[in-house]
Amino acid sequence: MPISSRARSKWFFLAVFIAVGVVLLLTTGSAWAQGPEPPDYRTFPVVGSRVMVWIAAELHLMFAAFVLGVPMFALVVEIVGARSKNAEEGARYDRLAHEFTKLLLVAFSTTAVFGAVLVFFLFVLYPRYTNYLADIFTPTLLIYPLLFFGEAGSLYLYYYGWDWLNGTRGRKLIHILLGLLLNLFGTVLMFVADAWLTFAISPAGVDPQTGQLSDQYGGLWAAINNPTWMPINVHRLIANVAFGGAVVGLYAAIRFLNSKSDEDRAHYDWMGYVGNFIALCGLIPLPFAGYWLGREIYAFNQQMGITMMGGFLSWLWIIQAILIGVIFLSANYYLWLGLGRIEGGQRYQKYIKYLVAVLALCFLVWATPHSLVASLAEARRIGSTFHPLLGILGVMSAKNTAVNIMILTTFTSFMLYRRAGKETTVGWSRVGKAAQALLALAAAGIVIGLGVYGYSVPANVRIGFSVYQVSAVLAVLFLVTLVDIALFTKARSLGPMRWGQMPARSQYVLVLLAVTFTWLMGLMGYARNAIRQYWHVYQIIQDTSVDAFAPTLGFAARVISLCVLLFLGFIAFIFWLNGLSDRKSGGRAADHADSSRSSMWQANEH
Amino acid sequence: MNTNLKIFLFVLVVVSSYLGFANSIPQIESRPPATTELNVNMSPDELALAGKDIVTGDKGGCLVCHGIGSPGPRAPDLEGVGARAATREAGMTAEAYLQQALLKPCDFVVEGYDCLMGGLALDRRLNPAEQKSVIAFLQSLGGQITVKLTPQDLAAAGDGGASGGPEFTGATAEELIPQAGCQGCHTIEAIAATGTVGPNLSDVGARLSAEEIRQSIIDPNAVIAEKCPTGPCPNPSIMPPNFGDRFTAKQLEIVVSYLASLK
Repeated sequence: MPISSRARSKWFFLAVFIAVGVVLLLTTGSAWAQGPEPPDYRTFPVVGSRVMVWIAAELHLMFAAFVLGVPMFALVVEIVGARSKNAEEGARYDRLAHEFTKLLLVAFSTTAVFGAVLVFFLFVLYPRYTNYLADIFTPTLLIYPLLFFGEAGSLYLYYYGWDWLNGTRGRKLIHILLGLLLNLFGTVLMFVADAWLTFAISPAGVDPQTGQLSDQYGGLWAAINNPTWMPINVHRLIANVAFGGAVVGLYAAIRFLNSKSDEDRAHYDWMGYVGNFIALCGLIPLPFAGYWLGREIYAFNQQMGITMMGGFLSWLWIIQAILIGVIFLSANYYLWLGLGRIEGGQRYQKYIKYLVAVLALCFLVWATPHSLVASLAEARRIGSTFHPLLGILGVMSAKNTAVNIMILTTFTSFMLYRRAGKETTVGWSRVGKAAQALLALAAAGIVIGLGVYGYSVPANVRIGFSVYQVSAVLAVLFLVTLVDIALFTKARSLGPMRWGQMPARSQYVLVLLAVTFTWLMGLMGYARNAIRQYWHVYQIIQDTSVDAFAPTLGFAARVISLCVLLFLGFIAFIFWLNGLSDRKSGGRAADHADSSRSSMWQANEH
Repeated sequence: MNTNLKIFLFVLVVVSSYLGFANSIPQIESRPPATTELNVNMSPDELALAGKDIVTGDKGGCLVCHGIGSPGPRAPDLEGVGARAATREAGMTAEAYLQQALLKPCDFVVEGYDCLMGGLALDRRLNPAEQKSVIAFLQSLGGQITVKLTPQDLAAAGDGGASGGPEFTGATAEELIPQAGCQGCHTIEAIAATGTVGPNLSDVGARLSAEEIRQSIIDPNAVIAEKCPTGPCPNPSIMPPNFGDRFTAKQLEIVVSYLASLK
């Protein structure tokens, strides 16, 4: 084990013990409460309690998202490598998966440390609220440390057992099962923690008068399986993959820009491409998971839904639209730049201007506000809560249509990229391509048709249309991919893929994607908490502290920006540690000297 | 320029752009609603005026959905509701109708609208006195104000949106009892309380043990006294059921000990 790995181990175990200790401490909170009454709140000097808890929670969540997201696609990449019939290609995927996992170790301990800091802050600064949650969720708090140990153990075995469990098919299978176990522990861990936070948004299982668990209202299971629990679980699961991909892309971009050799540039170009691909794969279903969450919030409490979408938070969705627009545009731009490193890619560059136009149009529709009520007086001045002209684009019919078309456009960009360096050899090529085009047009037609029709039906009917729109898009994505695989499996290569021959600005696009994803995550964290307004637990425990109000978006943006910079600073430190580790072991190239010949980057696999 | 420095500066530019945009749009804070000052001596018009503040302000937030003089974006026009309320349900007064529409909004949904108020929990967001002031305002929109505030409403007023756990700040019975509003319903000679809705507590220590007094405070319906100064005691009790949450354990013991000492 390299020295740096040993150092990491110490940090890792320290973090594990701190986290477990804190959770155990928390579970004894009720016993503590039986002594002299603790105050409801304590104050953190200078910045106040809320900001400190906010920063600790946000950093914990960002690292947790990374730590939970990366193992998912690391495992997939490892399986792709293990199943590859080409030994060299298999080894390349295997190393990539290993490199992803290497980023996890320090990040995992950092997650645990920030988790411990968060719990300390909550326990000290918000004792009444924390004790209340501990009382409600005692059994889950007792299980949590065990899950944490399970995840820590499986992560260690997965990473350090990589070479040991390589070589034979049986050993590799055991290693893959370890990866599966790691993901299983991580997912369950997240589900448990999600129960605590979603209960605060949409409490269930408790008597609304007393706030205590009541069998009449479903008890503990209802508190866990509260209305927003599963939508948040699914949303986070997908978002973690997208976020992890974006951060891996950031890592690859930094290494690419600092590379001294063509071989390293080729490797990190490929890694950045895979990171961006993963981020896109996660991003595409994310809006649908978001709509499900939104629908559940409306179903739980319409007033909360209205506050979220049409009340003081309405401008938040404009910021979100800007961020998602940036993500879609930059992810597409990265793919278009990628056409330049593929022989034959020039054929498709003429279509880019149309794709840009469609994306820009959809972006403008998505960024059009629906309701801008800042005050009653303002609403009266406008004469309505909607803008007389643009209000029509602000409703969900238009927005659902826009996001689905953006997804179809991004998919088209990817399809162009995928086929750029190949030429079909099958006899039914024209028919196949025509079928693909027809399918895409049909999906666009369904999406736009339902979007327009949505204006003429009641809201409760209209909301159901989004399901058909999403289903049409997902079905077409699936069918077009199937046809594409059949079309290009035995395709003729037009030339080698020139990995590493990407302009520097492409790497800054990856940096932009990672920063934007991180900022977006911070913004959504604020949205999730702000909809509770002045309640710790919505309509059960009122916030009576000096911070019993939802701050402005400007203030939230300052805290979010600080969190983003802190997170990226810590991530940069982790990247630097990884670099040190590489240098100690003779560099990435030397590490895999046996098979990292530059010629392999000329392979036409992408 | 050093590559890492360039990346760092690029990150700063991106983050600053988002920060700048978020600060360039309208800035709104969502503050908890202020408590409305109400008393039994208010005239019907004054009560309606107080209700108007709740309906049109952030506390009620009613105009997010309703309109007055024109239909709101999501809910009916409230103009004339005071007159309409008396005709909506046979045998139901306007006051009773409005009260039910406020506290159980999905019982009466105007045709063409969805019930969006179901999750509002106005019974907890507004205390009984505030609920009545809102009803008074709604009655004033085309009808006659019949609703009146009672001492019980004010006694329970501390419970609006309550459930928030211990909220009293006193350390003596003389400080805590007025905060809890006991004097609104009970006579306690030692502190010059003259309420006549609930039992006279001036010598409660001679009738009940400390344990029974504690039970009566935490669970008012457990045992209901037969006689109150003006007749039979209300059954079920109209005493707020959540004093167990609103007092800290220590505060509860102070009040219990004090009442037990009244013999």
